[in-house]
Amino acid sequence: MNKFFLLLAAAALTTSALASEKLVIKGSDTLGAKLVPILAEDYKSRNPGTTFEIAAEGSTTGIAAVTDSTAQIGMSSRRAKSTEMSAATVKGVTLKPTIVAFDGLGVIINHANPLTTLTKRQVEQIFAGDITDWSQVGGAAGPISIYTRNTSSGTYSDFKDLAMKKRDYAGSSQKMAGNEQIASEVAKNANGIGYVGLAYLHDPGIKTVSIEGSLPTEESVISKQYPYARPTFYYTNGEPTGEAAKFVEFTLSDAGQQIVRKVGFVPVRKLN
Amino acid sequence: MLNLKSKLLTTAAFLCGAGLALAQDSGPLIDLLVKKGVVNDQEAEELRAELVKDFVANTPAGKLNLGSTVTGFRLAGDIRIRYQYDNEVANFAAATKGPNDDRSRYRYRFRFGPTVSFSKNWTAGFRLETANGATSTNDDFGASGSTNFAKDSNVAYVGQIYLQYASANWYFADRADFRVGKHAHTFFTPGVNGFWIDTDINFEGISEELAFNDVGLKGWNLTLRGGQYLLAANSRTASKAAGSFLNTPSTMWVGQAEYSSIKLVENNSYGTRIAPTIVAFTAPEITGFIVNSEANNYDNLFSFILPVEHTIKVGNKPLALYATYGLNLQGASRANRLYSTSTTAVVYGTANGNPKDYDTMFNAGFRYGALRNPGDWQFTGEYRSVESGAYTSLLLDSDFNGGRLNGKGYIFSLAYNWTDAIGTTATFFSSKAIDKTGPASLGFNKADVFQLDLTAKF
Repeated sequence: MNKFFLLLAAAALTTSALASEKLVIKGSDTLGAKLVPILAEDYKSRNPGTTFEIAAEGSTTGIAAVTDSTAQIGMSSRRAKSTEMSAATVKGVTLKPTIVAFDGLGVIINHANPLTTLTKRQVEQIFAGDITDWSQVGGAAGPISIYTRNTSSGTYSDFKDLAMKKRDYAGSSQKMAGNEQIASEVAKNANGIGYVGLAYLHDPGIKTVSIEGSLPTEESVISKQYPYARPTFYYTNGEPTGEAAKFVEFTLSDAGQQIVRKVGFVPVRKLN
Repeated sequence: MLNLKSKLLTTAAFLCGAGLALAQDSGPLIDLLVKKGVVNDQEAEELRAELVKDFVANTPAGKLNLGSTVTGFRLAGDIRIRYQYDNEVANFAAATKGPNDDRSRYRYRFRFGPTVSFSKNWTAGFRLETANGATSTNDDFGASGSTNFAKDSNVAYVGQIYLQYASANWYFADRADFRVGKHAHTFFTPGVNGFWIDTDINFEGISEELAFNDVGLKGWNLTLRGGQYLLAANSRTASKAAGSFLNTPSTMWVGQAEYSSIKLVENNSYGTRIAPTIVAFTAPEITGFIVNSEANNYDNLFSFILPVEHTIKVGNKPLALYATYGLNLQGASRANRLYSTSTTAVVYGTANGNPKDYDTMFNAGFRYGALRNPGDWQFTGEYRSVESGAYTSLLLDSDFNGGRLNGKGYIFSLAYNWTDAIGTTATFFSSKAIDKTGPASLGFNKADVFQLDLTAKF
């Protein structure tokens, strides 16, 4: 009889352990700072027992984590590079991208800066260091302070590709850990300029400049009219399975995409 | 309506048909397919990933896993197979002629290495080279190894290892080039094999070059070059008694100011170059004694060198007329010392024999044609003379007069390009001693060298 109860208890413990799935998600700060934690909270409320470990330290770390099998999902605000694909292939991992949201990179300046618009060429010249004073682009005289993401960030390389013709950032540019830090520094510095994802455009003390008349909005991003728009991804090892597959499915569901919109990103399809 | 697989296969087949390398540049095409509604965004991403996966798995370039800091990676080198015939007669102070040294040599040269580019105008590189000598990269087939065909006498050395910063519009200059490490130089040295700096030499130290356009006259440019090089570290060690050895390096300093007007016509350079130069050596001494035998080579060298070249078009080919004049301002002292039998003491004014005032060197020659395309040829003729106190055998072209001082004579060379990569050169060097009574270390009584080369560059 005692043996029967012991077996029953062991079976109950095993069942409980199996029910409590842990999903490890690593990567992009753009996705991991706000969107994915909110999605995870909502998912948890629908799937009690699921736990999440989310680390948002840049897209590079997310792709590396899937390659090393230390995460089921890698968040990335950029496409995997050929070298990353190669590294994954060597380890028998197939990096599969799934677009989970679109994002627009807004160029932000201090709210006190009278400037309202820049051309694509001016943006390139400012971030590359060719233009160093606001008076050169029609603003009030003052040395331009450039804030960029750090080099492990997908946004760092995406902005170079989208806005700078793959040129290098000015040597004087200051590297920030995340979107919030850039918005915060630009808000404090009257001569500051930076770029952040759509979700961070309404932080206090900053304003968004239009690029040749186009502002980053859901409409301009989805219609691909805004020049600095990009997809954001979950990377998985092939087709996702288990809890990871369910979470990807949830992210792409209407409920998940409503959260995408609510946080400030652009859904992957038109929603009602 | 095509399903996803069909669309991807159709698009992939099109891209693959255009070459796998296209996969890396197919972004705009895929964007266009999305815009046209042929594929949606997600399908496009899967297509991109598939193409990149194919690229990394099936192309040599894709398999090269370079760091993200690398913006460019170049592998380059050359292989040269040479037949060489030497006929050398040693010099003897007491006789007019020594024994005749007559030999055939079967030689090869191999140089190979990467140049890695980074952002912000930085470059790093290293190169492996055969042979350990500074002025030669030739190794010999049939050299005495442990057994016949053994490899123990065939060794590759690190010939170059350096960092470079090169930029156009650098502050006040129109162009700047800085190198540190063991590297090739950019000094203007007209003549076969570089005459006063053998083309095989890689200097160890720091080189600087600044160029300014339109200086003085429109179309005339000024290029300033400097070099500070380490000849011997002379680092003091515990085994060296205090006072007999200084922790002071022997160094070589070069400064050159080139004034030039060059025009490129059909990829050939025409115009004038004139480049006054100073070459100075330093060697530590203790109370008149050279601190080690190697430093003995460096003393009493402070040379003024003036290379010039003028290139005109003759019969649709460039004809370059060039010359170099060199004067060692301490030539008399150097000749005196080199004529002495002592290798440890500087014996001013007590030379054996009569070195006179052997402080001058020069060359004068022409170079007709240019080697750029298959079928191109070039003919070079040169006369040169290097007096015994004029310079140092450490830097001189090693093929003429064995790279030694106290020699005069001529060189003829004919080169032909079979293809873009493969070329043949036949060169004949003939030299005689200026002073046939000087010591054997100061050049040959007579030296004739013939070289026939087959070279591949890649």
